[in-house]
Amino acid sequence: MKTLCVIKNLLITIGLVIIAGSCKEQLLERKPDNKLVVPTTIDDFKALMEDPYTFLTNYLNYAIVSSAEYELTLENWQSLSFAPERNAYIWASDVFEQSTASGGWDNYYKQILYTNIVLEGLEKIAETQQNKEDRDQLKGVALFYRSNAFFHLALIFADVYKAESNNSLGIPLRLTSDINAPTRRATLGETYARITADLEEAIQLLPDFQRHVTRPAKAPAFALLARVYLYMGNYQQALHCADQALQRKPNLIDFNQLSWQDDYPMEMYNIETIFYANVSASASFRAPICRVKTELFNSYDDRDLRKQAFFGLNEDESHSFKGSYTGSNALFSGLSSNEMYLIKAECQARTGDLDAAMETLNTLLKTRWEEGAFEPLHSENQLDALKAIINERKKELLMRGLRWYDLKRLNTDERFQETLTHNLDGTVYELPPNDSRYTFLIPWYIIEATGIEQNKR
Amino acid sequence: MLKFSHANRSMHVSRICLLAMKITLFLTIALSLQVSAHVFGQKISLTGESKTFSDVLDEVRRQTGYDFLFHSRYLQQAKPVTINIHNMELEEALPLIFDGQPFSYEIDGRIITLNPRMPIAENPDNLTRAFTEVRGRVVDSLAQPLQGASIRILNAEGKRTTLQTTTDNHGFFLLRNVPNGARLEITYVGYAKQIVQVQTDIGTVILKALPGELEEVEILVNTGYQQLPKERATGSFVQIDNDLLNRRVSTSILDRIEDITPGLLVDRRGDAINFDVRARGTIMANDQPLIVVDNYPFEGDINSINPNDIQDITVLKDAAAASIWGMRAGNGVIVITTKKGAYSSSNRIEMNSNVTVGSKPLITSLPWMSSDDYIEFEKELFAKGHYDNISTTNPPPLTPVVELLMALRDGKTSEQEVNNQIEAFKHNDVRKDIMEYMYQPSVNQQYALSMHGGSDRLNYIIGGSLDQNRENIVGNSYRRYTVRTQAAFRPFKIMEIRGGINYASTLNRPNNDGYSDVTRGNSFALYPYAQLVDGDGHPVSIPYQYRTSFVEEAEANGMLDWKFNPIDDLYHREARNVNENLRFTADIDLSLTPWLKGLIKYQYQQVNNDRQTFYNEDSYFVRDLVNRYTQFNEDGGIGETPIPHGAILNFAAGKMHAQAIRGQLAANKKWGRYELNAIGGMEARKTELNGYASRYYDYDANILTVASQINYEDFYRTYPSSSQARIPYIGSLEGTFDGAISYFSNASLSVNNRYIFSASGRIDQSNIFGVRTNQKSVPLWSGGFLWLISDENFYHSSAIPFLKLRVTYGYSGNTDRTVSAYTTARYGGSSYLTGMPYAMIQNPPNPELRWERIGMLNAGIDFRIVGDVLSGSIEYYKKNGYDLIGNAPIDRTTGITSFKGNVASIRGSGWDIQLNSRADFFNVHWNGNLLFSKATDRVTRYERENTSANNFMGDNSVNRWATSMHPVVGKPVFGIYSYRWAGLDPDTGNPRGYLADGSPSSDYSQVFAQTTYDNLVYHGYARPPYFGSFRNEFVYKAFSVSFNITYKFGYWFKRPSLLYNRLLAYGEGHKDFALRWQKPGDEQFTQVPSLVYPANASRDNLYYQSEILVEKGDLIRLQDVSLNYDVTTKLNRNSFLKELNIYMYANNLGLLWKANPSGIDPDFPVLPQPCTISFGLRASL
Repeated sequence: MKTLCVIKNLLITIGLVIIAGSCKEQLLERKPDNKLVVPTTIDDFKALMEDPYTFLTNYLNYAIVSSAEYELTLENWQSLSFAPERNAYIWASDVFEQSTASGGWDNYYKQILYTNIVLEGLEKIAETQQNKEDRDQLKGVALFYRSNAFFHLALIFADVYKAESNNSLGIPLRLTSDINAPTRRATLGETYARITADLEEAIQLLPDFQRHVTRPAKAPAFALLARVYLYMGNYQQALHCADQALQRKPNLIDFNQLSWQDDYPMEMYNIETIFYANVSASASFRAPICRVKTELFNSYDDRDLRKQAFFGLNEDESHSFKGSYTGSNALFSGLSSNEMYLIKAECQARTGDLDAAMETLNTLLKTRWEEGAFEPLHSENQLDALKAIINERKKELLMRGLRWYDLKRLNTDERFQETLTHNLDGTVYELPPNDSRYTFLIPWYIIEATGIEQNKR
Repeated sequence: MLKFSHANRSMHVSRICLLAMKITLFLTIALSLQVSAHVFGQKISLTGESKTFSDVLDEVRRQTGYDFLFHSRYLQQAKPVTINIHNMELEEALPLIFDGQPFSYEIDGRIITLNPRMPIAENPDNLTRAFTEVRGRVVDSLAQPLQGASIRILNAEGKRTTLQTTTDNHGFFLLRNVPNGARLEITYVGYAKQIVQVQTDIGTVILKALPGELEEVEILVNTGYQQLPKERATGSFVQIDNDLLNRRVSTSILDRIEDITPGLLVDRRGDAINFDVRARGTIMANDQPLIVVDNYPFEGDINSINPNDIQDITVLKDAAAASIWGMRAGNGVIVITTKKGAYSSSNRIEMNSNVTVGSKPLITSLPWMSSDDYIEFEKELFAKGHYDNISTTNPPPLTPVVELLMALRDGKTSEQEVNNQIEAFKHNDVRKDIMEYMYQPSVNQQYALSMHGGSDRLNYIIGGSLDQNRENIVGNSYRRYTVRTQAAFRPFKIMEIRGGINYASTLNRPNNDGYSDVTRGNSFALYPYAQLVDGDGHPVSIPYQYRTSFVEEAEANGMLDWKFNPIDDLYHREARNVNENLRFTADIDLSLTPWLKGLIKYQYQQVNNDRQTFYNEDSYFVRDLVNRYTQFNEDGGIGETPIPHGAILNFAAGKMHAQAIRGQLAANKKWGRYELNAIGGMEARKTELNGYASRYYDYDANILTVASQINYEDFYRTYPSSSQARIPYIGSLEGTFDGAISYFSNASLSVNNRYIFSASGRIDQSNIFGVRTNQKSVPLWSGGFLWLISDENFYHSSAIPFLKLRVTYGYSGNTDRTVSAYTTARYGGSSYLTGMPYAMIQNPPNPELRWERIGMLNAGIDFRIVGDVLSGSIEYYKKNGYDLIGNAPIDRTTGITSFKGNVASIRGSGWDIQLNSRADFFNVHWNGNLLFSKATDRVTRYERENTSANNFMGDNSVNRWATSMHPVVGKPVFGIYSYRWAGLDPDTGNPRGYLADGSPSSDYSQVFAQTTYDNLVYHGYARPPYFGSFRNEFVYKAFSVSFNITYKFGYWFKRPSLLYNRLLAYGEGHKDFALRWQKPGDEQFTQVPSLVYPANASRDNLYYQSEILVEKGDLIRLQDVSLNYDVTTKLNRNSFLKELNIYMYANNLGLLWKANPSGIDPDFPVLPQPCTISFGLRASL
């Protein structure tokens, strides 16, 4: 009996000790899913910056729908199942209504959250000889993405930048990942100061090239900064940056070499692509609903190969757009060298170097025309030169959302003002220059949650 | 009804408890007595005056280690004992102790069984003596002898005479001098009495246990931690015993508790079967009950359990019952217990075999448009120019009628020819082809065999089963085999060791998806006049994904055959899911002191899961993929095919290991009027899961080679869409780990056997990611009280001789593993852009995160009316969920679009009523069993209410995706909402809704813009708040018939109808098309809008989501009928066969009544369940 008692007591004790002691740490501290991490390492941050679903896309749908580059029939417009898309087409004052559409607000701030997590996380990692290169590069990537997001948000949800009115409302500049930090709108001056400063810093940190055109490097950072300065009206700086970008990526596609009868003749990651990004799909961009405006289509010369490469024929003889740099029906919203040529030309013209401006423009156009058919453009005065360049911007950079930004900035100059119109079976909708509707309303639920000041529209 | 609890005895029932044990154990032991009584030289000393008999027995037991078994009511008849013995042999002492007591004793092994002393029948003079001897034997339905059954002789009037006897320990009885023509009445507590005509050898009489006799026969309910006598349990337990489990024939064990468990509702409409125990206690977290098999949560596929291995199932519903399971118990717990061997029992072999045949599902009843309507509609569209703008580069799959009309337009054929062909098409009904060639009657075969037995130190069970199911979709099958063995061994008096191995292997071949598989591809629906076979019955192709002419042209240009032949293709692909489940258990029980036991339990479980889908080189899948990636040369000729033309194998495998260990102490102590039952212990569990998925191109199953040089890097132009794409790559790895440590305890204190107080507590700790350590633990508790009113001295009701009141309150919990306290990121494989690993932010940090808590109140009474005419229980409960995970308002400028936190509350309540009744008329015995449940819930707090009307249109109860739920305070989680319906416009047949000012309107954008949550129609629950069943059993001699009628009331569902934009864009019709408004005046008869061209999605949407398509779900169903013929009585006593039952079972017999006039079965809105019929036999030898 005694031995048994000892045995049983021993067994119980052993059992309990096994359970209580050894496995506690092993059971409770191990992570529930191997793929889950609390991001703390350089590799984790790298992986966050690689997320294609967060960073691949620029949210320019509403800018494109509102740019009057294409038109819809009444039936097709009515058949658009998404009300904000219909609203944007007719420049309704409240595009998003009470829907969950955010016009990119949610998505861009998601990008900003990622970049803030990375930037804050990198601060906590001590710099060493081994990690310096990765650390710098990652910081540059994060700054690039954050500036890109702030920039697009500013163009969609704030008025156009003017040096003299930089105290008007900008966008919330969230520079922390703390979700409890309050949201308030910075001034427009602060907004653009942050965008340019971050890009300047990114340029210092980024390598000249990355293996993939979907990943920020020096060329994309210069290209983006060139664009930012252009929209700020800082032509000197824009010229410098465009030049820097083109030094690294001067390539142009010779349209004579394209098989432009293809459904989508422009290849994805083609040689002009400095930085690759697309636009999330909208129903109205697709053939055959999308009918490019006749005057735009007709503005191309018959010997201009873009006329075939960019446009597909719908059954009713109207034209849809097929010239996206994505090689598919998705629209392109990245940075490319053709845009840099146009920025460079415009800045050269704006700063009075007309010959250089026309030469830059001709370099680009020569690749667009049938071999031997192109006659170089000349201009006598700055206005002519600018008009020619802006006209080519329209024809070269269509369906990228850039037209909306161009309209916004050019409307401030009486010489380039335009009124947009859409006609839906006799009902005519108009968007006059400098209309408050060039700035989208901030989604209602953001206003509700934060109490920040709403735009006037 | 009898619990063979012997195997669990030492573990769950301590010795003192034995004294109070009721009939169960008494019977069990009695049945298994082996004539091997030896009394070892045990000496005892006893002194005392007027000691209670039970104290004396207790003392004897303590000194000798002998156990006493008897019916507790004997104690009431026992007389006080005055005794003074010293160091006396037990054999000598026992006669002194039992002197003058109204019962005798019998020693067997270490167990002393008490038998009532029955008066021996005298020779009554007023009866004619005819039979000098009448012999017989009384057994239960498992052919175990019943000791102590009363055999009474009835006189001519059917009155009892004084002539009677009882059966011996082998169930035999002998009566002398029985009058001719008399009848014998055989009774036994807890069993239905039987009356038989007297003859010299009566043979074996089988007594049937009474299912209604819950109070008389002790039921042990198993919580997974302990077995409690049901009569002493304060909580809400439902016990499904073996007879009831076997009533139904099914492959899956869970099917067997449906419709017989109060408070349990089963929903088969969604992708997975949903079980709801009582009212809903959560919003977005897991809402399914915990399933426990042999004391541990079951990991893996519950269908790997063979129902024939199951002894019983206990459903734990309230806090006192379930809180022992802590954070996993919020949705109830289903405790499944497998069969075990018994000590001192003879070796028995049991077998069960059955075949179930099911009809083909009635595919022809699918609500599709008629061929005639469809063709007329296509002609109309054609005339309107709908097919004028067909893409030539990526041409869609046009139907044959449209092709004919085009050929006619282009002058390629004659009008006569076209009309002839179209007329012929009108007689086709593809549903007939589908039903004929893709469906078959199902045939499910089930075989189970087991052997069990035991000596006084060892018992065992060993068994195996095979299920072979031919599904009712051609090519699909299911096969399961299981092997298990379990043994228990008592090396010492104080120790028991148990071990078991369970293995199950299932092979599922889900090759064919049935009718939903036959489409035109690219979301285009099949046309109703399609032909799947030609006139000779050979399978033919249908237009699929691309236009027929395009496919033919591609083939002519040298590409692979691109045609799709839906029936042929079934034989070119093969899907196999193999699942192996191995479970190993080991337990050690130790009696530490007479009142304290220790227990260590260990379980290891391993699941291997292997899923393969194989497409041979002739399959459409392979041919299409190869063709789409075919590259063209400069000259337009066929160039490289980067995807090789060979078979493709997709496979995914997972391996799960789970281990659990539990240490537990059980105390059982009685002093005076008090009795304490308590357990406490801790357990640790871990579950590790690893999985991977991959694809092989150009796989050769014969020589096992695969393509190794696939270029996943480059982008290819695909044909015909011309978009750039990489070759599809499948390769992923998964690894998850759940760890938990729990501390638990449960105690009950009984006072005077009338008042029982219970309490339980549990602390769970788990590795939920990022929960701060101090919040990893959550204490959950319960308390309960039971009052046996009918035992009170003041209680004198003879109408209700048994009345018991139970009340419990406590908390159980629930977890949502999608949330975390820290910022977490999840790796998502490699980026399709750069090929580098990427990660996504999964969760915003939520340092305040807590587990959900569900507070439950349960109050119930159990009663029995005199004569056992009616007995049952009535329970009321409240179920309040606190700290529920829900969406909180979040400023999305933070970068987070949804924030889940502990922000919601819910309140549920309901009733569970169970009434049992029985009656005898003539020779028929009737058992009725009525279940009624009410379960309601409403959200009481939710921080981010979404009031956009459109969010409320779906019926979320079907698939329960948390992301589509939009709870509203004051409403149930699952409600049915719709737009108000203003009828069809009498001039146009347009559907009309209401504007905010109450005027009918067809301005759809305004109707939607002005309709908010507040002016929606709220119909009510999407799940029935009232439900139950009414089961009736009739027993006539060896025959029994039982049928179950189920009902559901008080809920609504949305009837599908026609969407013109789906019809126009994808050819997806609905038979309501025939009812559409066509001319003014039709609005009097129909609510189906007119056809407009082009379609308007908003217009469709208003109709589709309007109140006109909402129907009441209420229904009454004849679920099943079971027929049983018990051949056992016909068997010779010495026969090899001990028991033989032949049964028949018919299931899914159909609706008896439904509230909706549309002919829809709300439980199976698309396709009615095919009815099945089973034949089988159960035998033991």
